[in-house]
Amino acid sequence: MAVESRNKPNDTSAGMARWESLFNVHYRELCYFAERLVGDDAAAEDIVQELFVSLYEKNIAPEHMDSVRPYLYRATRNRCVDYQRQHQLKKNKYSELPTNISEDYILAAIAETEAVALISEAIDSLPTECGKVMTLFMKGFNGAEIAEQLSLSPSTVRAQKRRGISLLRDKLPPLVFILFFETFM
Amino acid sequence: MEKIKNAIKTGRQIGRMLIAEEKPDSPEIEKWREENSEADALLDDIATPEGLGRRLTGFRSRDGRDGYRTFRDNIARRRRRRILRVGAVAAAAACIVAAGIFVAWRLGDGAELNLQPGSAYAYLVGGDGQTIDLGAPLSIDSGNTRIVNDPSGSIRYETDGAEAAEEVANILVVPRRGEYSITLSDGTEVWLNSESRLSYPVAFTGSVRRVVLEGEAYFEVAHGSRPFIVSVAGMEVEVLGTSFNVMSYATDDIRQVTLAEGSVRVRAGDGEAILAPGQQASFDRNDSSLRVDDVNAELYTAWKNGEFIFNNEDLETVLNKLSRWFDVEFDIRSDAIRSLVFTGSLKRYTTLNEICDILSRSNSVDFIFADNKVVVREK
Repeated sequence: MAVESRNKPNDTSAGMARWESLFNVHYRELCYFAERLVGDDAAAEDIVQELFVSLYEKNIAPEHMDSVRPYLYRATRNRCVDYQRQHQLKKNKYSELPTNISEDYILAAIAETEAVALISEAIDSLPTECGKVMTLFMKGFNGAEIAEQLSLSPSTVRAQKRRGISLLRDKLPPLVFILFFETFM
Repeated sequence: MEKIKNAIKTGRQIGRMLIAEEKPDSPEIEKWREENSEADALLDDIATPEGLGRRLTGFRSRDGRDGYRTFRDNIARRRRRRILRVGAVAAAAACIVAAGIFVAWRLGDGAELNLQPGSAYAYLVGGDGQTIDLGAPLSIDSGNTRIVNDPSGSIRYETDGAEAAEEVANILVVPRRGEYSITLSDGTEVWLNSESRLSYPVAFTGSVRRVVLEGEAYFEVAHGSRPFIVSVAGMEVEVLGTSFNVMSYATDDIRQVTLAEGSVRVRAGDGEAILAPGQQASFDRNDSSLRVDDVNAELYTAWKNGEFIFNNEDLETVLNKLSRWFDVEFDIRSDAIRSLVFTGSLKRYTTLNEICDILSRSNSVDFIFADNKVVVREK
């Protein structure tokens, strides 16, 4: 399979740019997926970072987008399973928790990650300032806090929020729209 | 692998259906429900606003750029660790040195005292306000301008000579403990000392070449038909091709221009002075006075060559410079200490203990290393 290949040295700027774009394309997805498997956000990030560092040290950069994602999911899953095993070993000194993650659970977590990523992209397609305002609303900040964080006036924040909601109304289904409306108005 | 690919396809379909406000019940998805025992639980929950909202928030709490930054720190740390490992194998003595360096690094990370000197470090603020860490190689090619960074301590701008339509300003920021050099698009070279920032256009337009400095920098201005102007708060230095040092820290009252070669015109307050090589203009913000002295220019430009050279410099000024380079605070316990004078040269790339040792030997002061600062006492 064409996923693994020896590349130009990593310490060139072209080499590093490739790693940067890999992070832009896959990082959030893999962390989300790993968090689903290990149930701990910091551990999930560590697992994904370790995966990338180990690929980097072997100078293997996954090349083709379509085949990369499955490969990265599989590699992340393997690391999550290892992590679970180690932690379970520690825990099992005290209790008898079941440790296995079923294959169905893993595959459902992949499907979930992809669905969420797709919807998130729709939000990203909003104009920059509008998207920033909407993202902060989504993170639970209120209008005044957003105004302060983005150095905008509260009236600009309100206007951008209205604009964002109306643009999302066009792009997203009422289901998602209702969610934003209820949460942010 | 086929199962993973299929799960990806199914997930994207679920996402599209949710965006299109359809119930996730296409034939493919129904088939998936039958195959996968976890599918029902997921589909029932993700189709509710709360379930989807919670997931989106979780997903969007991370950013690929942050991940990449952490990744770069991680690989840099491993590289350092590898260097330490080699040292440890080489000899027991090297092992002790390496452990010392490692401890110092650790100290440098927190709020504790830095014993290690500064090093090449800076970041760039782009025209769009985005910051770029120059700890990694950078290469930008935007048609007629090229920007290339060498993480060992310099960044270079090149332009094909075509006049840019509008001036885009970049800012090079060198924090405490840092130093960096830059080659501007006209070929002018600038060395920036710790805690300094230089604002400059990506390509010069108009009738003058103007840059804005805060802090300390040494300039080697490339010859050009357009005058080159360095603006600092309250003062302007105009040149046509020359080498000079400018020191203008916000916390200091004195702004200082020291000429190494060529000729510059300094304007400050109501005053104006033309300097010859070996002359220094000092502008005092308190009384807006501008005076010119004959000096040994080498003393003021030595930092760029890895040395601090002082000639009858008062200890407070010496400690101020060390404070920027090591990012440590000196707690001077008596005013008498401030006006002690120091003459001599110190290497920039040595540890703080060594430098304090030299200073205490030639002066009647003691340095006590506290948790997060250095206390300076009379002996």
